[in-house]
Amino acid sequence: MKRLIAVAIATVLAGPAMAEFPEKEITLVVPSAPGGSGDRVARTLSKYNREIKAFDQEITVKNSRGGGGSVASRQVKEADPDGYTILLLHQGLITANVLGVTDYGPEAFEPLAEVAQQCLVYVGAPKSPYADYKAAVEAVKGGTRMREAANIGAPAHFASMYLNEVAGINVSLVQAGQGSERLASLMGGHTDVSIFAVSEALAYQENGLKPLVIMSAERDPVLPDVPTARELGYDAEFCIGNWILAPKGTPDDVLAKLQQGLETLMTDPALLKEMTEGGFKPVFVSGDMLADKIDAATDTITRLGAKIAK
Amino acid sequence: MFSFFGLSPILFAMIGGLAGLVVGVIPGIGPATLIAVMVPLTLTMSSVDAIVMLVGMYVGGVSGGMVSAALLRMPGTPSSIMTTLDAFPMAQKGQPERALAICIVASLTGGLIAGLVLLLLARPLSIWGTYFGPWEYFALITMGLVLMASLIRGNMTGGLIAGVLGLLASVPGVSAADGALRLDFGIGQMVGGLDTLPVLLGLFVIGTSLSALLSKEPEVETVSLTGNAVSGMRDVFKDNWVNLLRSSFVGAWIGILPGVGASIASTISYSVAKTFHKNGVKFGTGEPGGIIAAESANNANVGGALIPLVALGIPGSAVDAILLGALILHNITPGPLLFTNSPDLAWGVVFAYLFTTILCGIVLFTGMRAFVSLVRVPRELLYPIMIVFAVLGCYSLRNEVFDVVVLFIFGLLGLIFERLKIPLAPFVIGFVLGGLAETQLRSALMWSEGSYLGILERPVAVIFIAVAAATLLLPPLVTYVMRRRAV
Repeated sequence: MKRLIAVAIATVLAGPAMAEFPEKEITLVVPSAPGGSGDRVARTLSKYNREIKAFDQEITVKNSRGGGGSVASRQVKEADPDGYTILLLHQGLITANVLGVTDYGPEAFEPLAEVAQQCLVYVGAPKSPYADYKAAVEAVKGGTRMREAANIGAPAHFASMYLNEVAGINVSLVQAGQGSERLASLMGGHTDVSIFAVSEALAYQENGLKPLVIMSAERDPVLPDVPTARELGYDAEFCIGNWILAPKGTPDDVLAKLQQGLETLMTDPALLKEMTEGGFKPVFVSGDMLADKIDAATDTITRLGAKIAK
Repeated sequence: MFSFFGLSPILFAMIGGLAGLVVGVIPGIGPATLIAVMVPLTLTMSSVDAIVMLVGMYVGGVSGGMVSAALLRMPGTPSSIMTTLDAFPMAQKGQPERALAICIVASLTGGLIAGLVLLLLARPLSIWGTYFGPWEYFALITMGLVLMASLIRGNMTGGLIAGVLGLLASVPGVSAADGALRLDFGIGQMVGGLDTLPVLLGLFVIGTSLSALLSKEPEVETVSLTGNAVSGMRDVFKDNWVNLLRSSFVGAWIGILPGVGASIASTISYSVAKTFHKNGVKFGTGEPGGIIAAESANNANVGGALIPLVALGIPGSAVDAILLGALILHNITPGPLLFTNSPDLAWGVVFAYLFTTILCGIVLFTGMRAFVSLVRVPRELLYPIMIVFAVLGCYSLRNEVFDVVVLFIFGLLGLIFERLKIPLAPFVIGFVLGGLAETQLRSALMWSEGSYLGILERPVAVIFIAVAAATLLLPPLVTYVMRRRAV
């Protein structure tokens, strides 16, 4: 009898999972305010899902800004692992952990896919005397003090640390904050260099910023004249990834369905066009490739984080 | 700049101005409460529409406060306390319409003068502001905090306690300067620190509503409008030209100072006018000069306080702190580049201010009688509605239950403040400017490689600090010297 009841309960509990996923809307939690870069990626996915129905249900975007992305990541980490609450986040998931802001990192999630990249561009202030990154490196090696407008603790800060480490120089960091505040610092002549995502560098170009070097594998079509770090002889690549993650413990079949739906979305030409025009590089990386990528990023950031702690 | 002339922002500025007027007229609910409740509802609006509407509410709210101040001796908003001193006695003498007419003309003039200052000064100040580095910002904010403390009138101890508590509330969470975590008490959600909007919603909506619900509703008599509006207008333009101009500029100037709001502006303008006006001794008995000093200054202050907000991203008053929160909610970083990167928004604020100032003047003048009936709206019906809106709105900001907990904790704090007659504004200013000042100081120290003497390389910053020091040290020094002489 007891066994019978147990089986009955198990059947009832398993019932919903047996039905076809998704049965209700999927909530995609993003760490930025409406209009922020993660929000824009998420809303593009949501918009085109409505058109091409990659999922039978809507994708709703939830904005949970704050705490360097940890407000959003914590929400998803603690959500029911049923696939209906998923996260869009970047390397901030790792930096928050490395800096002790969170006690969990990517291991607390099931990575689903990387859908967009934003490679980083090192830029000089409008009045900066450096024609390119090499000249800046030479100047610093020659004893010049170079001030960098930074957003300490954010992925972009780790990216510039990485670049400067490979080039073998030390810059003086001056905390400025997010993109527009770093721009203000450069414009006011308080700092000499800073680092921006391609979309930001593009938007701020009319302010007179001088892109020095791009940290992508190949030159970016929207900034064709900017050399890659590798071209200049510095093997430092860093692109902010837009990763979609589900809570640990989400059933395999649900994960597979989510991945499948995202892959379908990421083949829609109109979506790809909209992302590209917004300064994002649409990609679709999943499975082991994505896991390796996240592991590699974790290693780099952990190593750099130890340097900050010193 | 030009998209402001689209229909939709004008419409929203109008809605904001009218809603602000209505709320301003009703005693006890001020523009801060209204704006705090409305911010989450603007999430779905375009940022320009949202901001012009909120600015409209700010102007309308401060303008509307005059009605109940004059007729009932109950300030409709905190900034019209000084208006009660002369407008109410004049109304008691059977001339309420004359009193209101003086209020309206003074408000309109003060508003227009400050609007002109805003129009002419905001853009140049923002250009100058680009050259402000971390040392200048830190010094400017410090100056604002010191001036605010020195200008607190009445409950000095309470004001200072509120200011320090506000500073403390800015500490928890990930430090904006170096990403380090502090004072999170092991609560996961505290990592993000105390978000501005839930705190302000708690103080201004939950706190003030609970306090009002707990206190006995004062009996409101029926007021009939008698007197002569035209004689009121004559009062303004006969003997009070100088008073009107001086009070408007005092209001606008105090507005520009970071952190100092309309209540303090009208208090100072009133005491200045009392000293210099030829009928100064009669102030408090229904003297037109007193009404003019109070009403032109509180409206001018709103315009002045918008200047540091749009030009530098530093709130000029507690209400501006809420507007700052609204900008950040819409993913707009306030600062000297606002005019360059979001010109429609920056100019939208300027024109919304001018537009609603004129609108409120006209509407108040033509609809005086309708507004008079509003002072009798049963408020116990409004407060529960506002509490519900605050809770829903607060949750919708980030979809965090924790924010609602913060809302109620600060609601409780607001209630305690109201009961103990501790002003809320210093808390808000401490809370908002404290975090800014800290981040700027840390950046400044990075800029000069850890040396505090680095400030000496920045003359403008040195001047700000000198002004702050003088404000703090001169008055006690003068008193001391005077006392010694007297002995």
